Formats: sequence, structure tokens, C-alpha cells
Amino acid sequence: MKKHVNLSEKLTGRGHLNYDVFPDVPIVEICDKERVLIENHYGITCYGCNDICVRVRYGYVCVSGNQLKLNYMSKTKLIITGRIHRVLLQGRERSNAD
Amino acid sequence: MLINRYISICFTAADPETVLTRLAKEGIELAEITWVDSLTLKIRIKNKQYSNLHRILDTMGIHTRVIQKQGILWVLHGIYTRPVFLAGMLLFLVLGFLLSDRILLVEVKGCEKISEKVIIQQAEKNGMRLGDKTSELRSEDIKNKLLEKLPELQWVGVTISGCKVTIHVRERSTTEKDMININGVSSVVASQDGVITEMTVYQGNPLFQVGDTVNAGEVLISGYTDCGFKLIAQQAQGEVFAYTQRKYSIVVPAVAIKRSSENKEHICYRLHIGKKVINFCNHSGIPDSTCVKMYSEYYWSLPDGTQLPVCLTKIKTINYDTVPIKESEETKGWLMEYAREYLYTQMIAGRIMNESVIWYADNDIYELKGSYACHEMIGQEKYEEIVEEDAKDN
Repeated sequence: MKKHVNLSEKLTGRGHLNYDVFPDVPIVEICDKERVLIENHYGITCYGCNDICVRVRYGYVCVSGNQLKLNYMSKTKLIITGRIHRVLLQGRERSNAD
Repeated sequence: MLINRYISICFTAADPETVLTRLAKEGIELAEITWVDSLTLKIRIKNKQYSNLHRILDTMGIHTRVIQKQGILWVLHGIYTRPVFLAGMLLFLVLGFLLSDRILLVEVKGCEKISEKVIIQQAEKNGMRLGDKTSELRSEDIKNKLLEKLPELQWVGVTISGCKVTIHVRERSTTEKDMININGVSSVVASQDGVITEMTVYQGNPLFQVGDTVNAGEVLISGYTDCGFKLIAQQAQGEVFAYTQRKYSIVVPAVAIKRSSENKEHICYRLHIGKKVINFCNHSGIPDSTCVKMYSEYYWSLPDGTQLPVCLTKIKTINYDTVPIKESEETKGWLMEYAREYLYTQMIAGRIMNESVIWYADNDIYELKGSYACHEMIGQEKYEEIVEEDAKDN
């Protein structure tokens, strides 16, 4: 059975476009070992000095390290600073509504 | 960040992460999110979003506390709410603009023998006064006038730095008279009438010998020596001792007034600003003989030591009660002691061989007449002026 392919995937495939031009697509940028930028997030679920978990469209992005701090948070962007050891994407099954 | 206004606030919630997510969804930009304790977060937001945040947290039943306000606009707002401080700042700026080109301080450097006050007074008489514009100051004119009025000065320089005028001076190392004395001719003359007992000539031509009687003013050792074919001019040096006789008379009143006990004291203050004097006393301050006046000056100076022309003067006047006292027989003793001490100050060197005193006491006065036989040095150096034609060799 063919998997459901949404409209954005069709357009990116036909138009040779990047995913990040579409809204609601989570983007994670890692700058060296001290800064992580997460765009298009759905909020934070866990905030600690060693772990910060951020909910995104297809799961969670967990940042692990030392002396982690939320430096900036807005509706679409989130910046985590500190000594970053690991950035983990925990996906979940995509529903038909996605 | 310096221009915008930011506020740092704290809030406590059971689930702070959910609160942060809710605030972010409502469009509030959060920065510097740090933990205060396990349930309290500190965040920084823009001032214009504070009302929205307060409303959202109120609906969630969360209390906020403002910790810090940042940004230059907060500082300006604080200054605006302090009118006296604002007025003082404006006054300072206006005075700084108006007084920046005026003479406010005068300093003298390099003077040792001459008083700084004398130099400053002369400079003020010749066109340099406090409050004048620095652009109108003619330093060359002031320098020339100072050199003309104060011959003790060898060199004068006037420099201007902002509101401060510095007068650099260099004094002459020797006066013109001393220059003549170093190169001139001198003789040893007698300062008193007497009979010469000792005569030691180091340089010069002795005109008297031991046993001779001399009068005051006579030349004892001449600086000129006639060698027949030439005349030697030099500075005569020598020591001449002689027997002399001196007579003194001392008169004191029989009844004197003495201060007994303090009556009352009075303190008044004066403020000197340049040459202007503000008197806080209600009287002229001229005491009579029964008062003791103590005068104290307190000059204001800058941290670097520069003295400002502002002085606070404290005048303490103490009135005494007086009692008349009659001189007693002890007066004779201290008058004789006083006469001897005075005599020694009049001698160049020597001692008193014998004294004969007559004591006269009356209702009004006490008089002591003394005659003293002394053995003292009477040789005194006297410089002579050299005239060019006399110095030519024949």
C-alpha cells in the first residue's frame, strides 16, 4: 500500500524545492557545541540544566548537555545555549491528519 | 538593548514549561529564561509586552514580580521624575558652557622667596583678573609688567589651560647689590667708639694698631693697599676687638594693666571669593586692647591640590577682664636682665665686663639707667662703590 504523500512533498519533489520554505516545518540548526536554534516548534516539554525537550511536528527534539539555558523563545523560534553534547530527534508515527 | 526598555520578572508555577509555551504562543518574546528555584523562573521581556503577559498570567492565576528594569529610556524616565536633579544638571551644563572660557584658577609655580600673593596681585593690577575671558588675556603684556614691577624675577611665563592660568617664574639667584659686593672693594670700619685690644688682619691694609683709640665710622682695615707703583683694591677682612662703653635707659610705667579672666568669646565667619568678602558678622571686628583675636583661614582646594580662590575665615574674639597691677621691686631685676639681653643683640660678638645701674622709682614710672663696659668686636664690613676712572692704572 502506498503511503500517503502530502501536498508539500509533491511540490518539493516536482519543483525541486527545499522543505524549509514551507511553514510549520521544524528546522534545527546547530552552531558549534554551544548553540541550537529550533524553528517552528510547538513548545517545550522539559526544561532542565542537562536536558531540554522541545515538541515539534513529528516528535520531540531533545538537547542534552551541561549548563543548558533557554536564551530566547518566541512563537516560532527557540534558542538553546550551553555545552551541548547531544541533539536527539525522537519521531512518532505520522497520522493521516499530518 | 540600550535603547529599548526591558523588564525582568519572576513568576512561580506548578508547571513552568507549560506557562512558557503558552506565553510564546501568545506572541510574547521571552529572553534569558533562567531558573530561580525548582518552580520559579526569571525571564526578560520588552516593556510593551508586559501588560499582555500580566493579563495572561492573571488568567492562569500566577503572580508576577518585577525585578529589574533595563534600558536607557528607563534611566531617562527616572531622571525626568526628579526635577531638582534635572534642574541641577541643566544649570551645570549652562555654567560649563558659559564659564569654560573664563579665568577661574590662578597658580604660581617656581617662586621661593617671593610670595605667591604678591605675584598674583601684580598680575591682577596688570590685566589678569578672575572672571576675565581667557581669549582676551595678553600673556606677553603681563609677563613684561611682572618683570618690570618685580625686579627679583629673572624670567616669567604665562600659560593658559582651560580655566586655569599658570604663572611660571624664575627668581634671580643673587641681587644686583650682591653682584656688586662679590666683585667690589670693602673695608673694615669701627661700629663703636673704643680702645683696640686685639687686631687680626686676614686681608687688607690695617690703619690702626692695638692700643689705639678709634671713633665709630673710622676705617680700621682698608681695602686699598698702595704698593708705590700700583694700588691694590681688595675686600678687607679681619677681626678687631676693643673696649667700649654703652649706656642705656629703660622706662616702664609703675601701674600696668593685666588680663585676668576670660569674659566671653565671640566667633564670626567671613567668606572670601577672590577679592570679594562676604561678612557674616554684625560688627566691624576691630577689637580693643582687652580682646584677643584669633584668625584662622581655610582654603578650598581641588583633589589634585590646586587651591581655589575661595577661603572661609574664622575669627574668634575673646574678651578679658582687666585688673591694674602695680610693679614691684622685682621689676628692677627683670629690667636689668632685659637690658643685658638687649645689649648682647646689639653686639657683633663680645661680653659685658662691668655694669653700673641707677634705679629710679616714682609713683608713675620706674627708670633704669645703665652704663656697661664691654669687650666686643667692633669691626664691620663696608663695601665701596667702584668708579671707573679711579680704577685706571696711572
